[in-house]
Amino acid sequence: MLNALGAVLHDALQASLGASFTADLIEQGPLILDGLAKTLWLAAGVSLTGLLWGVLVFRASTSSHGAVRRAAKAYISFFIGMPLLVLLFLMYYGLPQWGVRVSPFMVAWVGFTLNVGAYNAAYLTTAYSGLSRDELDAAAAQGFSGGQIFRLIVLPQVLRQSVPALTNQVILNLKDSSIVFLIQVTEFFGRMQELAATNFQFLKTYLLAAAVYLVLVSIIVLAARWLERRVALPSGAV
Amino acid sequence: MITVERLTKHYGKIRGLEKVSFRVAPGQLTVVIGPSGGGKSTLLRCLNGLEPFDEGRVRIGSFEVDVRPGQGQSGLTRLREEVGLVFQSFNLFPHLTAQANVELAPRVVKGMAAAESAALARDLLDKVGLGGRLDAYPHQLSGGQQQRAAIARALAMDPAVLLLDEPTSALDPVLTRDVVALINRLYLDNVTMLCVTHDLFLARYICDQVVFLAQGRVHAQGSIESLSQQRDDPSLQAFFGRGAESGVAC
Repeated sequence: MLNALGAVLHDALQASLGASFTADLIEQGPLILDGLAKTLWLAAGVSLTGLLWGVLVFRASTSSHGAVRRAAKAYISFFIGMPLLVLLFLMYYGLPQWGVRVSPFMVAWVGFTLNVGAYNAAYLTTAYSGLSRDELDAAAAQGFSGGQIFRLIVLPQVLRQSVPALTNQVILNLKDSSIVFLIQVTEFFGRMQELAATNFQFLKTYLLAAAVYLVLVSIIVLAARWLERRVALPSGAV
Repeated sequence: MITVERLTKHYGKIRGLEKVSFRVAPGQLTVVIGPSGGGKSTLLRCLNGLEPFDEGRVRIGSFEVDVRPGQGQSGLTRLREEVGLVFQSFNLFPHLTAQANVELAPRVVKGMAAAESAALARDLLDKVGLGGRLDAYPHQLSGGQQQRAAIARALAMDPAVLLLDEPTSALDPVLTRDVVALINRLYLDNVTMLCVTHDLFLARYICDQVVFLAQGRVHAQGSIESLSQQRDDPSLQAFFGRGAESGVAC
């Protein structure tokens, strides 16, 4: 008898919570969509600025000036070695102590760019180490300057070689963006946290969040494969 | 005209080149032979400015080569417009087609208009027998075709002299014949050339002068016959002796 009553109460509670979850989801929908837009904006933005910064750091790592080269390599080691969350906290909580105040979103953007740039520079450096030095000598022998060799011979090849690694980094950027709610950026995962805190449906909320990330990552993967095919080096090249 | 006087290059305590002197008259082909590690490739790299040298003088035409450490890019660019260099391993840019490989330097380094450099590339590739492979990437060309494309690329800068670093040593005999035929054609067109090679066919039948380089020093220069007759130099004896053993003696 008690068991039957317990089952009825359990079903009623479940139904009530299910309805509550849907209602809360609809109610918080605009905020969640706004968070999703922030997530996409942040992931796309840092992927672009991280790539540009990575190319600059990579260029510095191939400089003919030893000091510049060493500084670039130290930069790569430092930022790859530092956890991204530590870097974000350092900037978010540490900079105001020096009187520097920037918005949480800007902290996230700059922090990610510094971190992602180091990884991208490392990918490009790996591809560069596979280039034939004789090929670079041939370019120098024709009178190309160092900058021209980098722009016309080195960069087109290392970028193409690095497409798989660089697009994987875009996926990581999207997924890692979920930590910026810890510095008060109200992005998608932060909004989902708020939803879970409203109705305590953690399983449903986080499964929904995971499904959204999965769809977004799948779209990036498809785009990445298309890009790889489109810009692949001619077969047999380096 | 190439004039090399007392050219010296050391790598720390290791002697790369020691007071190397010789001349190449306009329109002539000079072949540099010698054992591996004797300084042949170092010589070409010094003449093109890829390696700074320590002492000596080099004149290419009216241009005095000054590539001591600290010299700027402008001097190097000017030198490399005078001196084309062809490598043993071709070193074509793998991400560019044959035509793009040839037209890139004239357009970027010399500032030639795109249409003009494209036309030049087509003409040169046609001249070396690759008129039908303009859009081929290097990996789609045979070794001999790649080397001919590399020669076309060097000629695209209209250099006063062409340096060839063992242009046939990575090729099989059939492909070697194609490249030697091209060098012969350039010779007949009065292109001034300095060629490092182990191919004694070039030394025997095509060139005007042979320079024998060993341990960084010029041991002898003249015709291949006169060099092979010299009995007083152990390096020459060893070189031609080895050549006879491997069946390439003159």
